[in-house]
Amino acid sequence: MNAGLNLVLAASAALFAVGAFAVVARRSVVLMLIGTQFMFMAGSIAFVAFARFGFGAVNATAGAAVAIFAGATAVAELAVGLAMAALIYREHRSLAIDADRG
Amino acid sequence: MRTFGNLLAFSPELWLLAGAIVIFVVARLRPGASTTTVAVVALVAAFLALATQFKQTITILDGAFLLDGFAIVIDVVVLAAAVLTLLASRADILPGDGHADSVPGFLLLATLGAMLAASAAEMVSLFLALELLAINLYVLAVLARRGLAATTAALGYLVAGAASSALLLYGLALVFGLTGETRLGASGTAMAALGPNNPVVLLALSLVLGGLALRMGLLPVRWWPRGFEAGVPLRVIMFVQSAGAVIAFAVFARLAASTFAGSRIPSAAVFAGVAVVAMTGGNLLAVMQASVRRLLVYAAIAQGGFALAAFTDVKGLGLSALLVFLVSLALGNLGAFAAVIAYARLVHSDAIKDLAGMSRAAPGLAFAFAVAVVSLVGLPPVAGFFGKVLVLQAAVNGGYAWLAVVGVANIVFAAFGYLRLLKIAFVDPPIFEVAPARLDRGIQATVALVSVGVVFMGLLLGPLYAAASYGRAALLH
Repeated sequence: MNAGLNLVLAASAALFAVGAFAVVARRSVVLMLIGTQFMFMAGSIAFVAFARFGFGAVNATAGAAVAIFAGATAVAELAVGLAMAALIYREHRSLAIDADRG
Repeated sequence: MRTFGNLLAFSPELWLLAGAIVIFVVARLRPGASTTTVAVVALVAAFLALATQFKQTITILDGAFLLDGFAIVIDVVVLAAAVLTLLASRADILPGDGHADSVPGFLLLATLGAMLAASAAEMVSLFLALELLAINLYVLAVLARRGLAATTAALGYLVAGAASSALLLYGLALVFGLTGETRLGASGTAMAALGPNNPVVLLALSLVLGGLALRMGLLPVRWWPRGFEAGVPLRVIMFVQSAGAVIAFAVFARLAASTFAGSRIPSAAVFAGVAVVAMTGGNLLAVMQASVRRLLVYAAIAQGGFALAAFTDVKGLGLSALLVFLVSLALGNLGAFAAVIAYARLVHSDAIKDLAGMSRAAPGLAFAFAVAVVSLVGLPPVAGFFGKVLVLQAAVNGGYAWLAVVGVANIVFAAFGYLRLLKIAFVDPPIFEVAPARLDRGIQATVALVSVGVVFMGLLLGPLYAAASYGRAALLH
């Protein structure tokens, strides 16, 4: 049972790391926004994993509820971010928001 | 017993929501109408509704929200910051900004999120409230000013903010995994049963602190504050640096007092370490800046370090000291930014060298600016002094006398660094002639109100400290 938890947690940590890399190292706005989504989803997956396998099983619905709400707010944030990206693209004809990054 | 009652305790928040809806409808139907007035009315109504709920703890939605003394003290600070920001707003609107009639509506929604976050006592409600605040701040940052620089800065703010929200979410997930509880109080009880020096608890605490650090104003990350302060209009920065920072510390205080207080990890040492780095680094960065707004944003890092120092004594004086300090911090930042907004209106610049001649061109403004800066440094007899003294006392009580020594050294350093501004404003001859212009009445009111608050907070320290102790008692049960 704990093998399942460890596996899911490792996957979620890896997802978090990929997202953090995209946020820190990419210069395209869209890739950075997708990176933040990866990070949110990693947190949600960790919640669900704890709710399914870990101590969280006593309050499994609560853990799953956090994951659902976190996912919803993440998408709301993405929507605002993409709107801003569209504004920048309209004026700048580029999705790079920082010229000194590669 | 499951109860969904007590929804009426949301009446302050409902006033804000109603005000925001009215503003959005009015902005759509009658462009150019004064939506700021509607927003101020809604904020005053929310304050009156809140005033009927003093002196009682109300559990809302089965413990998802806890309207206790702590939340009420924080709510009052946030409402005041929102009103003052609104009053100062008109002076910061440039001709190119167009009709941004709906901006006060988003400010109301951000205030709503902030008030909910102050009383949230459960992970879902806490995260949702913080996101409501954050997303509206992103929208405010992009709506309040036209242009590529502003949009880019707002997007950078959004990406950095989203990444820190994700850090916070992961930290909360670890707390949930360790304790099986999403309620902050219950998770604290379960946390106390864990063994000492559990590395996962330490990791969870670090993630939560890291996730809130940006909102506390602690992080000099890539766009925050560097790009943010350059592109985002001052009235938004004013709100972020007052209400936003206060809320971040309030949320962290609730987490520290209910969830992490029972855990047996060296949390005070972590807080002390981060506090030293933040207050020293922030002051060093601040004195090197050439623009006033940039200096103020970097100085906020140092202020955040001081606020964090109060957490070394969470169970003792710490939370009362934190609340008094947060009030003084909000007042100081509101005053300083309001003065910068008003003076930038006169000279169209926020460079430090252009402060020269301020005392001749606008004596009242120069006085207000001086009061705010002295308060931010922490010199007697104004507000900041009392906040800093209490925080340093808390650090000593918590067994971190060396932290208090570093704090005093930082105050002395900041005094020499920031009082340079006042020398330029009051002594140096003006570089150019400042054309006298009539300032908007709103910004005049803001500057005057905040200055009175900063100067006389010392006189009101008794009631303020009583309120802070009341808030602290609510948090520690």
